[in-house]
Amino acid sequence: MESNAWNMDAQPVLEQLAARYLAGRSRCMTYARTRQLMEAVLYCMEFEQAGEDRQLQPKNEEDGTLRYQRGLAAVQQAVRKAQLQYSRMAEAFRDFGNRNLRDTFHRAIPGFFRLYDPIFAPQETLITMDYPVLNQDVSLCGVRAVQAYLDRLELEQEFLHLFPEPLAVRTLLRFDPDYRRQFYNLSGVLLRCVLVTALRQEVTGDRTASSAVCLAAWRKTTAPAQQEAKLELLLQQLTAGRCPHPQAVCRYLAPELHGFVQQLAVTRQEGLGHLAVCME
Amino acid sequence: MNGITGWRMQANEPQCLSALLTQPEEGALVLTRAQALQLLETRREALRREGLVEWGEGILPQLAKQFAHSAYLDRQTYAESLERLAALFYHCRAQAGEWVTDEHILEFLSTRFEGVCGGDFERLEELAQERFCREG
Repeated sequence: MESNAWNMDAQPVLEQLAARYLAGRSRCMTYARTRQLMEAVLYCMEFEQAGEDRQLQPKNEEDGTLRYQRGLAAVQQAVRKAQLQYSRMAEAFRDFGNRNLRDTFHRAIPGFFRLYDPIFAPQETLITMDYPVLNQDVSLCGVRAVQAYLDRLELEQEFLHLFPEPLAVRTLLRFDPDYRRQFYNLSGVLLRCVLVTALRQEVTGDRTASSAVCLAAWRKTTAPAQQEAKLELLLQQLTAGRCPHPQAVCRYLAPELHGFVQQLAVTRQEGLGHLAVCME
Repeated sequence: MNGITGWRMQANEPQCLSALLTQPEEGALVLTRAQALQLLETRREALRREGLVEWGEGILPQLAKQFAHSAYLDRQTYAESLERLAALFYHCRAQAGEWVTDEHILEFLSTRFEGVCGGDFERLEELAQERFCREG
């Protein structure tokens, strides 16, 4: 926390929070605990104003207290909203047997809801969210970090639900027989596989051609900028009418398209088959 | 932490000073204004040394009151003894866990000082170290 964000008018809020924390046990607190509570006050004060006017300095003590109280209420509301979102996702959550995704969703995130303290430590994220969603914002903390993570995971689930589970599992196994124990993003893998499968007929004229043959032919005939545009178009066609939020899903997956095109440019001929497999 | 600790020192010292100079019970030992100010300085150093922030008027008025009728202190030794006790209190406070109350530490220091230690500060410091380092 920046020391210049500290303001004399927010300090009475800290004093009240400290009194609540100490609950009459003591008149003293360590520096570390005081810093934690100070960060808690600032987190709540900033929370409500995220995305709006970032005017941090309260104009007076009452203003500081009100801002804190509104911010705390907003934090608690965000937790409830995240819990509802989680419950909704849990009804039909797909992990395809990947341990990391399963443990992150079914253990880590419930752990957050169990342990999160919006009053004395709202800034703590508490969990590591090991499953790597795309474009994760590592600057966020506390419930904001978990909210953003669930938002991305929910979009990813929309995409994963496009595939019948047996097909997805078969494809993942062909891509990597050990995928269940790996720590990469599954949607990125399936995205590449479905796009290469879609390209296959158009590029090679052969529905049974391997992904390596397809990619080798494609990169000979298509410049990287056109490759990316083509993949974006294919993704839009794939998701339109099939995902509840197709544009958001496409935006979520867009970095993966860019990464795929970059990798295609630098991968040697014999390595092309490792970038993706066709779905059978 | 300089901002918050600096502000806290300034905010509650007048409150603490006023409480230290409040008219005591009959027969109780008293501090002069100069002695009270010196005690506040000891407190400041002790809090800094132990990495603590203290809220409200702090523990000093209660500490002073607890030892104001000690059998082992008199007008000559009271002020200096309170400084030593204050330093010891804050040291115990920093060592003991957050669930140990101020009153518990104060009660321990007072009863041991008047009892088994017989007014011996070194013995009191040994006992306090054993007790609160183990608990903390």
